Amino acid sequence: MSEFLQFVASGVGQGAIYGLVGVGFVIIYNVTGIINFAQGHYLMLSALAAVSLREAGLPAVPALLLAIVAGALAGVATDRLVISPARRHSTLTLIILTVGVAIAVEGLALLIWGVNPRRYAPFTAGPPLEVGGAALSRQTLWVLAVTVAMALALWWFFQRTVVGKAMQACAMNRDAARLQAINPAQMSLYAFTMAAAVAGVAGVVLVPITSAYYDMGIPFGLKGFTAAVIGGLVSPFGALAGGLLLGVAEAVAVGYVSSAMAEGVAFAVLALMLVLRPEGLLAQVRTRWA
Amino acid sequence: MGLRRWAPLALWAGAFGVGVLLMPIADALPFLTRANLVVFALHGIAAMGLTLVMGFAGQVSLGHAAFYGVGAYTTALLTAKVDWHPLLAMAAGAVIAAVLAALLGRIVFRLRGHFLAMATLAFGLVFYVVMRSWDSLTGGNQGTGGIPDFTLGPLRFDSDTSMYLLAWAVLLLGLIAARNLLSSRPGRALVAMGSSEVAAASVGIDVARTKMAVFALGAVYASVAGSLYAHYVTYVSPESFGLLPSLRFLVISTVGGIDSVWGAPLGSAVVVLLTEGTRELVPRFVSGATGSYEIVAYGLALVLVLLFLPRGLAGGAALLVRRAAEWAGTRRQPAPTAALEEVELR
Amino acid sequence: MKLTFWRTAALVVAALLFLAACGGEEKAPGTPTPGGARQPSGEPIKIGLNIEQSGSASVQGEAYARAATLWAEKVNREGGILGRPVELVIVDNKSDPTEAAVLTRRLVQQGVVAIVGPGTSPTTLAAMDAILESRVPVFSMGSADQIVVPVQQRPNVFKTPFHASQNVDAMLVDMKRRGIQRVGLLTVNNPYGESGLAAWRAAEQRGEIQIVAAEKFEANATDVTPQLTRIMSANPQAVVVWAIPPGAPLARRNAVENLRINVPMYHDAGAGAELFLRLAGQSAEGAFMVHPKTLVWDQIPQSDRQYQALQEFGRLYTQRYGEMSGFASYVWDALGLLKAAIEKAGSTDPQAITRALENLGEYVGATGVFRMSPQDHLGLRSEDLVLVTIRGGKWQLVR
Repeated sequence: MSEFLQFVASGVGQGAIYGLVGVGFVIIYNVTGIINFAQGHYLMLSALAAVSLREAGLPAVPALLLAIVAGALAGVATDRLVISPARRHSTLTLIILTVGVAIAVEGLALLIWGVNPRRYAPFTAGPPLEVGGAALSRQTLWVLAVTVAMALALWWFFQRTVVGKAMQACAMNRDAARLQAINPAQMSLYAFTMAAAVAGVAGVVLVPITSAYYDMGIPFGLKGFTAAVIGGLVSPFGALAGGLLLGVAEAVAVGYVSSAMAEGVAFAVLALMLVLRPEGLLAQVRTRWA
Repeated sequence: MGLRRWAPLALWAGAFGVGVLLMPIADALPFLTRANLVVFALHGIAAMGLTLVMGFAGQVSLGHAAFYGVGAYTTALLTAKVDWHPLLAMAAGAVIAAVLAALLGRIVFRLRGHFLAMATLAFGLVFYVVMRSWDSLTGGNQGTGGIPDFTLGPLRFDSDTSMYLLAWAVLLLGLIAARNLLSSRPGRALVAMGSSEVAAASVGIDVARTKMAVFALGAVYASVAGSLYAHYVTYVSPESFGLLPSLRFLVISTVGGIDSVWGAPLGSAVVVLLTEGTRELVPRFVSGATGSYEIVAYGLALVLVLLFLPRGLAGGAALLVRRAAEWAGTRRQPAPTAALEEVELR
Repeated sequence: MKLTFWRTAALVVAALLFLAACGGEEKAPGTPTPGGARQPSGEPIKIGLNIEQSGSASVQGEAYARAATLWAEKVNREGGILGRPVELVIVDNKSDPTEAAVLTRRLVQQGVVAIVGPGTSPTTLAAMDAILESRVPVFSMGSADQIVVPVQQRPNVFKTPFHASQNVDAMLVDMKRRGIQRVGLLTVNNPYGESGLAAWRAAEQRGEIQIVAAEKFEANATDVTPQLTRIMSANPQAVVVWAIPPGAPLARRNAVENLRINVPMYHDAGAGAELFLRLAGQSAEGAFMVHPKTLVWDQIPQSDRQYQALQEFGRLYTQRYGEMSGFASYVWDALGLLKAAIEKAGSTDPQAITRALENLGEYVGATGVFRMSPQDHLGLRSEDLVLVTIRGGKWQLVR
């Protein structure tokens, strides 16, 4: 039993990160129709920026906040420098453009930070907590707390702010939204900025658990995308749930199937979801994000 | 009359000649070797399958390299372990790839939207994991080797040059097949589908079935390219068939342009030139530059090409020809589709 | 402020400059001392480096590139080879098997007399056909045995890293001393981990050890606690981790911090030297590692045969880069062996260099003492590996 709890505890920690990355996929996909391949790269940028800012002598809180801002700025840059000028191109071209962005950003990160992974100390030092015989590291608790806070913040944003409601409107029907004087270009900018910021948050809470390195963008982007698809690619909360499911499925697969096949199990879950329930886990929230 | 019959043949012979001419060009350029040409042709074949899927079925595939891998691994196992003839092994790979694609398509094409993208992503990743994990069959992460050279009767394709000529010939065969298909009755259905699915359905085209067939055909192209790859490198490992190679095929198809079957070879040439060109040129401008500068340059070049040529090179070339024709005053009746495109491209 | 294209572009450039200034990689600027021996002259001798500077094996590739650059500077400072300067042609194969094969052919076309690299097993095996056709001597840094075995089919292929099986042998020596008979294995799920796993399985076949659990993890995993939990439930007397950073230090941290594993943990030489210390932090204390002597180059006694070679390599490398890497000496020694062979052959003819390498006799390198022969294209013995541990944040030679 304590073994099972350990698998779940590990899985939930990883899954929360996948979910946060997945949120960005959902926001961008729904507002613009683009699958953004650079999504995991914002996480990577924020993670590495956090390490650098801390090493440069900044106190922890401003360093982390600035690192998230750096990630968000990368989202702004993606929209303004690449997506916005190409607004009239086909969605397919826009998707491949994000592949180009991903490649260039990864190269830049390699230039600036080199290949060696970097470490960032846990937010709070101390031994892990024991929960029913399973060890839950303090940083994992931070990850979970931040994920919950992000979920609440997203709910508030989409439910209570004009911009959030405008983005939802855009997601439901872009043409109708335009008739309501909602500017799609502006919404696209907001979508990329938010998606990058959320991934940035995931990046900075993740570094202390593992380490930061220039090519972590693709694997985390992939897992985030899987999380978003499991959630049906319609709701940010679906993506968070999908991430948790994916993380736990992976960890339990390590425990009870085969550690070599764990990743395969995760992707097989994705394939099964597509066949059995293509509308995603949380289909009922299709029309509302919150 | 006789001239008309022989004209297409002359055209294709000329196209083969162009491929032969690429060899002295590659030799003259300091940063290209004939090995680059082999890769150009192989990726061109595989990407052509993807062009068909994207351009004529309107679907994105994120797992195309898996079909490339099916061909490569089938060839590797059947020729190295049980001594099949390369052609038979290649055919077996193509059949397996087509069946897998049809099964996948059967599930996916019931659904609307971007589900093929996600399903192919999942399929590609599962394939990658299986190749890595099934040690007894595939050699796992360590890969599998000992693949003999490709032979065809007395011909033995063991050098870069012979392999390139073979791959280029296969690429042209693929082009001919695709063009003939597109002008046939089911092909016209495809083109109709590319422009409007609803319209195609309304005139009695079975959209789901046709899409499935295109998807299977695209997989066959990739598989054949994969088989040739296995013979060329004589060793296959999972690394060559994961997500990154899938993205590379996607990039080749898009850069080349998905409106024309010529897009794939064009795109493949551009990607090879970009990769090798940046490798050669960047260190001249930035002293002590390592691989990272090349990657940045490659990514930026890709973005720029797509920003300025959103319909890819083939689309851009077509537009250029049209513009030139207009400018020269030889404009006859402008086709309505062309007018539409111009609006979109403005 | 409205974010237009150009304003955003300006912002991005400013941000990049800022990051490059404050973030940059820690690099101690090198101070190549001028003068020394006579200046080399004449046409440069070109040696190709086909290495993994980006992609999945880039941690290795960077160490390779650093060692190669350092070596070329030293050799050219000291008079070159046969009085001629050395020119390195370094190309990045992006850890991609196909690129590694294509680049091998390209380097040959550019007229290199020898190639160092590819630096991993899959890139080397994919390039094998090109390597064999090229006829130039090629040094691989891949760990798989089949890179140089059977030697009749690999006439011009050499390698410098110990076979995975030799690393295992060295660990087994220490385990026997501690009475350890049951081990749990944690290997990274890529070719690197695979070669380690295969070597352990072979040792189990020989009846030298019992493997009670074997788990794998993905190279980009963030948490390997589930795998370690599984391993510990099989009750091993020691845990062996076969991986490179960031996986190896991550496994150590998860084991110590989350599970408080109290059995000895062994790492192989890929675990990352100082990078391991940095990433594992406090948790690194007490970990064992089997490694060439390079990691403790300053603790090797003068009586050791490698003393001179280690002093030279260790001093130069750590002075320039501020830290040691487990991978660097493989390229350093490959280049050193090539230099010795070219000087012995008195020519840069590739066939002559290959013959000279096979008849070089003993070559004392930083990795170990090489005794290459027509039958053995590695020539290292597992006795040259040492066991080290970490005490007080420093590497300590155990034996």
